[in-house]
Amino acid sequence: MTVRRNVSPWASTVLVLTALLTTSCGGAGSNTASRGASSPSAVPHGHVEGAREAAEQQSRLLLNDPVGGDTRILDLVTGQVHTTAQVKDTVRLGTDGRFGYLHTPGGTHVLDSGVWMVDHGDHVHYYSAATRDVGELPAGSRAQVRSDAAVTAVTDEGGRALLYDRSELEQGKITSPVTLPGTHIGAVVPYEEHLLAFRNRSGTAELVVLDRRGKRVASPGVTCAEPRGDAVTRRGVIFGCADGALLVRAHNGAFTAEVIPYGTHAPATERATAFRHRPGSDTLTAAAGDDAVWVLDVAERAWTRVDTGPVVAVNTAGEGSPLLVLETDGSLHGYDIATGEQTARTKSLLTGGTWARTDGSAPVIEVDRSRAYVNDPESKKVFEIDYNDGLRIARSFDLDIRPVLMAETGR
Amino acid sequence: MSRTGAKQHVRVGIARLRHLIAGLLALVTAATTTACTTGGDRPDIVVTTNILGDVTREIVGGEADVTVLMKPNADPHSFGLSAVQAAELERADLIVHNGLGLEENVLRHVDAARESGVATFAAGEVAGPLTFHTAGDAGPEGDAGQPDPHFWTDPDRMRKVTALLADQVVEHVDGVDADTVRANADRYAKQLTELTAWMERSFGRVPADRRALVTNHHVFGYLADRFGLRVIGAVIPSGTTLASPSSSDLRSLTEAVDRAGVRTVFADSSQPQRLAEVLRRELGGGVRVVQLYSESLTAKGGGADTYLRMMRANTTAMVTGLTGR
Repeated sequence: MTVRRNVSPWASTVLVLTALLTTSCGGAGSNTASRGASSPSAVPHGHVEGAREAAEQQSRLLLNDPVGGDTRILDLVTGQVHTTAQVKDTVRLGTDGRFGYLHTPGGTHVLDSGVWMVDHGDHVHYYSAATRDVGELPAGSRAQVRSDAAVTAVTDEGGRALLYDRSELEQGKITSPVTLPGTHIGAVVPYEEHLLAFRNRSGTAELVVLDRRGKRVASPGVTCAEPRGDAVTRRGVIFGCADGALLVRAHNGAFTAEVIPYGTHAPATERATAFRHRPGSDTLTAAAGDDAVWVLDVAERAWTRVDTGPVVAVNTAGEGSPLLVLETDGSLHGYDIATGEQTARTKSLLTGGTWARTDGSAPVIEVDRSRAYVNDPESKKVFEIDYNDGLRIARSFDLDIRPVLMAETGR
Repeated sequence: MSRTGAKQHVRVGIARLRHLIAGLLALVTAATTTACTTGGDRPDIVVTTNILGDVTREIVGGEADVTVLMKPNADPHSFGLSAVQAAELERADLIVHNGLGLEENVLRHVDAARESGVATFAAGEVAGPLTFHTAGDAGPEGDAGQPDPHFWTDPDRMRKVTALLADQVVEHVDGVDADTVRANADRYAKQLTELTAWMERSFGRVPADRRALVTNHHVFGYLADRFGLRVIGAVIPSGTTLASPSSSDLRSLTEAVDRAGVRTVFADSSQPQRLAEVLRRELGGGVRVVQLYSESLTAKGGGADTYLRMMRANTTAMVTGLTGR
């Protein structure tokens, strides 16, 4: 089914990390983070205390104005707007699909958006609950937060990583974390009951697989030059390296790493450094310098470069949907990924200003299964785009704050 | 992989919507009713789905304890068992389940109990199963050719099952009075015969060219087969899609309505009025959205708290929806 499209002169290197990964599945391991998903419980399947299970995706947008600190949660199903605690001087807003992480110089504020999805592999469950300000993580503005269902890993600027029990966050509590030994290059990423990270080994970044206490269980000699950017997909975790992407997957308890080279020359200024995608999708996007976009099809192991106008933000829903590029003309542009042709564009959505992609506070494109969202801080608006209908503006939401930072949850 | 997820979601979503309507109250009620297991030595019959639970109680009467595992307004595809319930299964004299792949999360417990010597009765498997149509012809995507587990939408098949179920009870549950059980089964079979006759008369009022169910349910294949209706499957837009749908978001549904020639949609939707409104705009003229009971009984007083009431409520809703009266 997966026909390799891009016949690269460099054969993709497949390295099997034949680690003896003694996962504590079914064993007597005292892994506090694993919550016995298969053990029978006294509640109906899918039931979560205090939450309402929904038949359809419950999408919400987290919105923040760093100047005044105003923070809102916009419910995209009901149209209701919730007000949450003020968070000023926010530099970045990240999410793990449920929690928002508002990074400020003084710490990271954790906001429970109250909507989330649980993936059971062959089916999914959607939930909604009340929104909640959970509290502060002692992590500075450059900290990176990555979660899976069980743990939240916070890696600070210096590479030190803390591991929080995510079920405690779900209860509205921040409890004392596990401190991982050593330092890491880039974010520590929870994946398949382990942690993936890079550690310095004689000047190069070496991939290590850690258990949930930070103990190294595999280090197969895979390196990644200048790791920047990561994304979890259903087909594995992608890390951005200077010469391409590293795809790390778990299979039958062993981790494999595979290099997906750019195939064409990608100067340092044009390599992918931050990935954007629809959660659940295997198609990643990243800016390729100022006027082009990388599309990484993880299933096909293939990079495609699409020439665009000057890029402010980029994303795609994948699966045949157009590549979405917010350009400095303020318009959202749609491109056919296979041909590189522009297929649609909106009117200008952005008001005033010049948009620099690099400072973290430029508008973004959030994408879910049916719609995309673009924030326009100056006009205090968020636009809902039907990307499968010629980038039709389906709805626009008027807000009482400047939505400088935006992230979507519930997907 | 994500497509599989979407497909599954559609099916799970269909049944689940209804339990949202009744909400937590039903769960609380259910908790109290299922907790009524007596500690005595009375023979015990454990039934998986609440539809079969109701039918089993009609047949067993006061002759044995009947424990129903699935709560009202729940989804038979996804409900699971507590450790206590799983243990109950192992101790049962007889387990009654639907089978044909319906109770996905309970099957392994039923299998385990059977292996440990408990008698089990898969109602759907003796009912004369039909197979799902292809996805393009109203069947669920990917399930074409698979047996359709939703046999209960045909009351004749349910009647056939009751006679066989009575035999099972007499054979496997010690201490029951066989004559009483058979008398109960005969009485209930008569009610089912009356139900079938009433449904025939009711659907008979619908002109032949209007006997079409446009629906997102995959459960009415047996009913349609028995009473001469066509099932035309459709994807129902929901959530953010329904807020401002495009023509393509609605295409599955509008094409189904066109094919059916009937302006009534039998769909579970969290926003039925909104759905009717967008369809009216897309198609011009009025479209009605009618909700049906599909895979679960309601809690007591909920409109479909017995099998007979569920069947009558659905028949009335369908006939009214199709005739405009």
